[in-house]
Amino acid sequence: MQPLSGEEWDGVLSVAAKQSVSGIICAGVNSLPESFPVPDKVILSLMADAERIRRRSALVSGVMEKALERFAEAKPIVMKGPAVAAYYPEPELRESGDIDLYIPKGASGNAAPDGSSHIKIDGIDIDIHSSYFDLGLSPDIEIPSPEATLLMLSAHILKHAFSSGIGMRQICDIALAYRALDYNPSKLLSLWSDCGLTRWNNLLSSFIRQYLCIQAPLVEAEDPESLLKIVLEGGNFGHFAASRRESLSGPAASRKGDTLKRILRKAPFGLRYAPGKYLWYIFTLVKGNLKAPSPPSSF
Amino acid sequence: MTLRSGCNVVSMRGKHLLTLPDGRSFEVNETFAFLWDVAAKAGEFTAETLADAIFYEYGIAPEVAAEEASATISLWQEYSLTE
Repeated sequence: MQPLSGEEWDGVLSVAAKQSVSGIICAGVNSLPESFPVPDKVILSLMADAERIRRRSALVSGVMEKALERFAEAKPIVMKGPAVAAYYPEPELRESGDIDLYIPKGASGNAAPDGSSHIKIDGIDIDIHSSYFDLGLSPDIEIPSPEATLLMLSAHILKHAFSSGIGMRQICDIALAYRALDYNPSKLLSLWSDCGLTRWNNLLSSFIRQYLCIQAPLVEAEDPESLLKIVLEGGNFGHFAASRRESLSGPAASRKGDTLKRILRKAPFGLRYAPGKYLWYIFTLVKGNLKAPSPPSSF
Repeated sequence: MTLRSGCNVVSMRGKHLLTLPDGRSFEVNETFAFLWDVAAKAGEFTAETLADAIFYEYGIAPEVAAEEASATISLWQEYSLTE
């Protein structure tokens, strides 16, 4: 292994922050041989990031317990976030955002006391969803189950890939889920096919195999370049794309305009890898006056 | 006395970092990190707890160890790192 220059290390730190994977990079750097030189400022910076992530993870885990207790009657299921952190070798190093709970429609206590589907506990946002899957999917599958979890994570990534943008954190989530879950591959492939998502999942799995070296199932390999371009362009949920940063500081109309522009720019990608779901998404946005059916996560 | 809740010392590749609940962090030396670990494991501790640890770890004279321990505790108190 060739030592990295100071500039290259700065690049590693910058990409890690943009992709919200500083905790994972810290664990990786810590596992390098002692003989591999790492600048002191890089070690200290990663340690500080990792500690911040650990503290946030502890807070989010505590809030998750409170939320599960609060909605216990409705038997909520934790989606993404702390639930996927469990697939990581060091769960506390996965950067935590908000908490998403799935409570089926009609289950008692499926909303906050004021009827809203969004609450805050100890400053942590909790979104309550009545659909387990994004993009209007409603496959005939038991929830929770390993196959349902994998489809949910994949559809979530796809939704962001053709809207706000997607980063490495969410792709690491599903890659580690593939590694940790005892799923039935033929059942999963049949779910992809039923949902019209085979080509998309081929792309996602090809990306995971090529860049994360984790075995993910696929029917036919795709060139992962187009997904890599989206990941590198905007980072975590596309927050680091230049246009996004400008629009976030502007009025609501500017944000909606930016969202629409991004979605239309992704037309070649969406129509190639998941045409039915891409068109469904555009139709749903137009119907909702450019308001996304479930708002992109804010973290 | 005890260490202030929410303060932590983490170590990696020979570097040590003191982190505070407000998100600030400071690089500290190996002795600081060692004594912090002793205090954290002890829960309740005194200057004598730290002096004993210094004596056994570094094999220096008991009175020098006592001075080091006392100086460390003064520093921690000055920066509100103890309760």
